Amino acid sequence: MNTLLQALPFLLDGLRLTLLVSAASWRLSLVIGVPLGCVLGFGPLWARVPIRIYADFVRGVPILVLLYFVYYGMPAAGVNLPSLAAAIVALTAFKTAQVIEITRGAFQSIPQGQTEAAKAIGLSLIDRFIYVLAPQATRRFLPPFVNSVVDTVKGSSLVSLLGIVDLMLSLQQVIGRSYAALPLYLIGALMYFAINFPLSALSRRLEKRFI
Amino acid sequence: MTNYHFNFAIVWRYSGKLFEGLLLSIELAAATIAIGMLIGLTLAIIQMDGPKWARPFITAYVEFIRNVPLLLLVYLVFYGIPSAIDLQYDAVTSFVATLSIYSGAYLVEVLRAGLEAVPRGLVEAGKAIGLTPEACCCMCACPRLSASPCPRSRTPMSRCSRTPRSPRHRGSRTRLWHALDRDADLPHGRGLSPGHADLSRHQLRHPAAASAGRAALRDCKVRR
Repeated sequence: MNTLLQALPFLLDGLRLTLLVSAASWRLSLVIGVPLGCVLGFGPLWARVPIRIYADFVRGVPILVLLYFVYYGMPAAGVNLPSLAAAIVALTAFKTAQVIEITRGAFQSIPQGQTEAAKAIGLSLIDRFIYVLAPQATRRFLPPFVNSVVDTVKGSSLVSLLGIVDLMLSLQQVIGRSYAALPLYLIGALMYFAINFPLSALSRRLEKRFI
Repeated sequence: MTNYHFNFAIVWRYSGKLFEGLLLSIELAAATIAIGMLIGLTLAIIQMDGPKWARPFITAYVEFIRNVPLLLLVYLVFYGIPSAIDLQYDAVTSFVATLSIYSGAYLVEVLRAGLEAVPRGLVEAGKAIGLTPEACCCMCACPRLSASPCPRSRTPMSRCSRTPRSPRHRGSRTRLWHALDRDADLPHGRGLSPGHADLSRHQLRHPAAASAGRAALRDCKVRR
């Protein structure tokens, strides 16, 4: 018990880093992924094909392989990233692919009649997008997106394998000193649960309300 | 890129080893999917029709596993449990167990949603021709699961990319099921969009629009 209390500030530092990495990657992926998803939904073929390939390729590769590729593989191409930046880049690349898919799905699941009706009352392309498509797409976008934020927080535990002292690695370092594996892993699991459970509960509520 | 030379000969030289690894990956995946499916289906059926006291435990299991990283669970089972309990197992056993429990938690949700989508009338019809509850489950609900058009899994992709499809594109068996559950299904699964809801609200306020709408609907049905 005493060890746990002593280790707690250290674990909380790790937790802060976990939150930092996941917050950075979901924000960046939102900024990059939503426009790309719109292009995938509405854009010309020459723009759709590379995005399609990117999304399918990245979603088919484990996050761990992406992390190792960015951290150990990219230096061969002259891109030398420190571990934290490499982790954020890899997680963002992974998450962007998901956001692209969610955005495309959100727009494509809107019935065609909505666009036709908007055209019929004479809205221009931009008006159609702002007043008709985007509000409906946002409702369909939010629940799966919040769900995938949970995945990001979970995926950020892999960052520990690059030597970044996030919650996972700080747990292991404490275990390395105190040899109390089970209680510490359980505490760590509870910490992750405390972050993720409200998010997934929110996602479920949004889903009930919007979809 | 300037002074780096890709040497794929190394990949080729060790291809046997890589292939072994790939084979092990596939074996592990197959084993965990099979065991996870078993866990998922059992728990989903218990959650739907089992005793009430079992439900909170299943929900707790699902929520805990879904909200904790896999890496942590793998470490917990491989390092944590043997350090506290006198229990010995090798890495493969531990990993298969962990991943089965992990995938089981996801599959409970998926399969429960699939079972929920089984129309009530189908199960009631099974009861009416004298099937026991077990037989009803095995012969009515479970086969329907595989054909369920969109088990409402919480996987983001499958949920978002699903589009209402006409039953005409499916096989005859599915078409029969569709005929059976025409009334039981969800409104937006049947192609009723939010737009339709707005339309009916509009019709409530304007009787003239209502009669026009009814005529349009009749027309729709005749064409169908």
